[in-house]
This record gives sequence, C-alpha cells and structure tokens, in this order.
Amino acid sequence: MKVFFEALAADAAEFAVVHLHQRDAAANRLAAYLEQECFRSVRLLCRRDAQTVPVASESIYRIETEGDSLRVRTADSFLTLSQRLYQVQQLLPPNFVQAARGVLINLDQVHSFAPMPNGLICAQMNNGDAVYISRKYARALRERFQEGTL
Amino acid sequence: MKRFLHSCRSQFVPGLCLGLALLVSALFAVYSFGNRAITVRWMGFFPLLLLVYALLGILLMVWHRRAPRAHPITPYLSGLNARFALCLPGLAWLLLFRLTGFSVLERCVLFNLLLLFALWLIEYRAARRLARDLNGALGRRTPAASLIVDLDECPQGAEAFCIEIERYCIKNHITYQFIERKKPAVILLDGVKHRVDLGVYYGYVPGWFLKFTEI
Repeated sequence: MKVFFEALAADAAEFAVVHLHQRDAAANRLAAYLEQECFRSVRLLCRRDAQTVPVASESIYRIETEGDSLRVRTADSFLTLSQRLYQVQQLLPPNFVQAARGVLINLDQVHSFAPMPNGLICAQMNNGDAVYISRKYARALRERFQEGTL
Repeated sequence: MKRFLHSCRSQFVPGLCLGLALLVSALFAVYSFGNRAITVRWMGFFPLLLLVYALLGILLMVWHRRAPRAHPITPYLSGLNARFALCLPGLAWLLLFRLTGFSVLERCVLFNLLLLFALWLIEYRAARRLARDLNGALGRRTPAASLIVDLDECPQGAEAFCIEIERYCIKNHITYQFIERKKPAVILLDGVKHRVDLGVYYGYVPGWFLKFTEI
C-alpha cells in the first residue's frame, strides 16, 4: 500500500484519510490505531532514586509489579512507577503484552522465544534478560498474532 | 511459605488431574501382575492411595511449574555435576526395591515414571511448537531486512568505506543520504534508514562485504 504525507500548518488539526476498497475488520483496526494515535511515543514519568525521569515507551523492556508499585526495566537500569499495572497498560501502545501475572513485556524488545523443560516459554530480550511466559499467556499472544492485532 | 501456598492453590486442579492419572497408572501396574490376591490387597488401600496421589500430583505440578532459578541452589546440582547426580535415584531404586523385594511398589513407580515422561514429552513438544509459532510471528512483525554486498578489497578507513557505499548506490540507482558518515555508517536509502557495517568472512582468502540493515 502506498503512503503519502502532506505537511499541514502548525495551527491546523491533523487528520488521516484512508482510501480502501471496503471497510473490514482490518480497516477498523487501522482506524482505531490512528484515532488513538498509537504511533506516537508514550512517555511514562518514572522515578530513579529521588529523581523523576520521563521514559519513552520504546526504551522500556518490561514492567513488573513489585508490591504496591511497578518496576520498569530499560536497557540497563531499573526505575519505579507508582501506578497500577492495568492503568499503565491502558496508556501503553499495543506492543506491550502481558507475559505473566503482573508482568508486561515490550514485544519490540523481544529477540526470540524458546521453550523451557517445564512448559514455560522464555522470551529472550534484546538486553539479555529472560522473561518467562506461562502457556496461557503465550497461547493468547499467538492468537493475537494470528488475528493480526499485533 | 505464602508463595508456596499460592502456587499450590493455582496448581490445585491440574495437580489433582495429574494425581488421578498417576493413580490409574498405578492401578494398571497392580492389575498387570494378574494376581487376584495382590489386586484385592492393594484395593484395600484405595482411599489412602487416592489421598497420597492427589497430594503428590499437586506437589509435582507446583515443582514442575516453578519459575527457573537465576542461579542453581548448589553447584553440585548444576552442569556436569547434574549428570552424576542422576545416578543417585538409580542407586536408590536398586536398594529400595530390588533388595527389599517390593516388586508391586516397584512396578507402580515404574508405570508412574513412564506416564510422567510421556506427559512431559507431549507438553514439551507443544511448548516447542508454540515457541516456533511465536518466533515466526515475531519475525514477520519485525522483518530484519539485511543486504550483503561483496567488496573486492577491504576499504582502508572510514572515508574509503563511505565511498564504497556511494559506489554501490550510484551503480544501482538508489538515492542515498548519509546521516552519519563514519564506520559503521547510518544512511537513508530511498528514504529508509539503514545502518551499514563492514563485515569479513574467512574462506580460502578473506573476503569483505557491506551489510545494510534496516533500522
């Protein structure tokens, strides 16, 4: 599909027009993606020691629950976030998926998946971390891939 | 302890099912002797066996589904040491069953182990298929577009490296624009951002190549 961009004046409202033969489920997904502006980067205000640090969603590898707060893992550091996981999941783009109870991973930072002897699936991240996905979430992830929602 | 109890609760139903399957295999083992007296004697223990196998099934599932440890509990059970440690159950088997003559119990345990192995094999193959599907989907989602271009000789220095890139683009009528003119280079090829590395492979003589990777 060819894509054309046109520059708008700064004060004009941005919009997208999609030319298709028919409107189907895939078109509806594209519309939702554009309406929700999922292509834009999401920044989370995390804490490192006593500092507040804005973190772009692309640089987040995983987010996991730790007590009442969340632990955010980037390439080489850990930060904390004082929100609930479900609240953060609503803010993040669709490439953040649930790997286990209380764990979200960024699919864009997953290098590969490998089976474990105990039936779990190991997601090898680009920074060398390993995240273990239960079969229930791995099957749900496969279904989402097959449906084309990821 | 809290975590252990939580695991037991989450694995209660699967553990119960596993325990029942093990019990059935044990009953098959008893029945396989073809001796009515043995069968009747063991069926007398049925309620106790049911309870034991239910608990065993739950504990086995909790142990099986635990998250892998980052480091082994003891170095004596990791790596090559683990292979020697596997001999210990065999030795225990020999002492417990062969020397004491508990042939019925031995056969029950054997049938249980065979069933566990079969179930583990089925589960592992399903996990392997699932991982393969996920890797395939991941690959289609983020295709690693790489192009390899062989070079006649190794470019000496960053400028010679960039000149080779320009030479390739001009020869193939590709519009290019350097973002970073160094080694490795970052370049726009027909508007698409690529990183260009210099690679070397060793055959009869070493060879050099440019590797264009979409980023």
